[in-house]
Amino acid sequence: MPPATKRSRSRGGGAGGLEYISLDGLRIDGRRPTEVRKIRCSLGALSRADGSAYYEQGNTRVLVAVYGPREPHSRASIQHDRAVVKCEFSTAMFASPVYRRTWKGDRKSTAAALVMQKAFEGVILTASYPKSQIDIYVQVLQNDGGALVAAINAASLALVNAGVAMSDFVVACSVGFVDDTFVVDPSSLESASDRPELTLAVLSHSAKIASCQLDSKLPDGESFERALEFATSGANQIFKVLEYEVRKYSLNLLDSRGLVAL
Amino acid sequence: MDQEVFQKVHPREYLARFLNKDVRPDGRSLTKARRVNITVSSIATAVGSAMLKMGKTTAVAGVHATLVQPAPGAPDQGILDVAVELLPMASPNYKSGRSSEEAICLTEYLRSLISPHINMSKLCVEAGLLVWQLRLTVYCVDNDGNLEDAILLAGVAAMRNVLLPSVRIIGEEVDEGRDAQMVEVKTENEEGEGEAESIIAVATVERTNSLEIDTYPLPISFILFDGKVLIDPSVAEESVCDSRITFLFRPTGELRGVLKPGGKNVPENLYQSCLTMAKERIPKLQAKLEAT
Repeated sequence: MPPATKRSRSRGGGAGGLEYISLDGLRIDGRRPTEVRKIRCSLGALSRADGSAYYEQGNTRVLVAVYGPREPHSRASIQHDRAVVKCEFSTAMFASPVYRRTWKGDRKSTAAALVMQKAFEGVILTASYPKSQIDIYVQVLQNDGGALVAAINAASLALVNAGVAMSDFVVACSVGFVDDTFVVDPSSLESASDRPELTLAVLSHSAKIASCQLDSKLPDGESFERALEFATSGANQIFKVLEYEVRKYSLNLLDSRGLVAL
Repeated sequence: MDQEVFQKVHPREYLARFLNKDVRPDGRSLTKARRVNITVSSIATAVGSAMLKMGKTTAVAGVHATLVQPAPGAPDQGILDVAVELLPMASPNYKSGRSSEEAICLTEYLRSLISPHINMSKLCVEAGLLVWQLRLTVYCVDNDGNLEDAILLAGVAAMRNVLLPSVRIIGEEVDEGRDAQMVEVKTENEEGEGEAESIIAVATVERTNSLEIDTYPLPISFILFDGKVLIDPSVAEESVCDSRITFLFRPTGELRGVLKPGGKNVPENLYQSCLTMAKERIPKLQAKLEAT
């Protein structure tokens, strides 16, 4: 069922119902406009997968598993000179309060899977794994906005965990636009289909853009650059957390093999 | 020969050599079940949820609730849908796409064991007008064997964790403030003529009504291998076993049923030793579930 506040939003939002930005300049959940939600993650959450990560961004929770490089399921998809990256995006039945029949093949999931596939094909050194396939499986357990962002960040961690060679690290962040203000990493309350939202995936070291998606139009021409700036700064915040997590994980791994002393 | 290669080529012989030394490949003794860990209410969007870990086997269960019109044949009964999904991330052998035979069998197994314990008339808001429809979905995210037990326990824990809001049918839309929310349910016109009507109800934001599930099934599974019994099998052990036997208990410790899906027959003495082991474990499992 929709939370109580959703109703007031549908009746007019903004001034009439819900205030997205308080007089102090804080958002509904108390964040500043440039602040991303609290991130918690762990690498190697699953035992059977070659690489996996559990990732929480606020109340959005995703689980990502990576299998491969392994032999492709079908001979037809084999590429003799590189690996094929496949991605599957599915959402749990109970992930959002409003019941929507979602399955792996629905339009939104397919679109999200394609975005991820394209983004990661660009950074994985596919030429090092000819005639093989790398599968990325995403399961969204709870969606409080930004499921794709969380999935991309988690997939980066899972690929690191699987030891897949990559040229760079993909970090994603979204920017919403409410009450004439840009808000980084909008929650489900702050995002609506009629409001502009920019989802950006950047390569953290080279600062190149891996994927950029803008839904709905922005108020004016200059605001796209501003939105990009906000998204990049959000992605940088997220990358710091992910980098810390990867370093911690690797150090623990080295320590457990007696290669470094912590 | 390399250990991993040997396991791939002679899986039975690999396990047999371990068992001859009274130890299992994962270091357990034959009578030692894996540690069970249950956490509930971690998914805020579900009315009830549970995550269960049994060794490395992991299942996530959640219940989604919607208000619907009851079925014409049972006007005062709620509706319970059960589904089990084996995600492709759980095992390298699971293919994506449609539900596999295994998933369908597990769904049926879970449904038949859970639905008798749910009081469907508790899910009724107003007979003939409005009832709750609960959708229990159990996702297997990591399969390291004994899915039957893991999925059933996760399902039971999630159903026991369910808290529903109080619902009241009202005539027209009024603003109830922040503590309540409006729900509109479209009624279906049987003749298909006239305007579609809808029932308007208010549901409290606070959820307090539990399903009060006092009696539920507790499963304990064994496999038979070369005249030996192994409690709580891992996936490698399951793949080479001769047969499988599951005991189902009530929380009070009484035996409720035995499942033995084919395979070799179980000699009387082994059956008895399984039963004794199972009875010892039941109080522990029950305590784990009650503690949530």
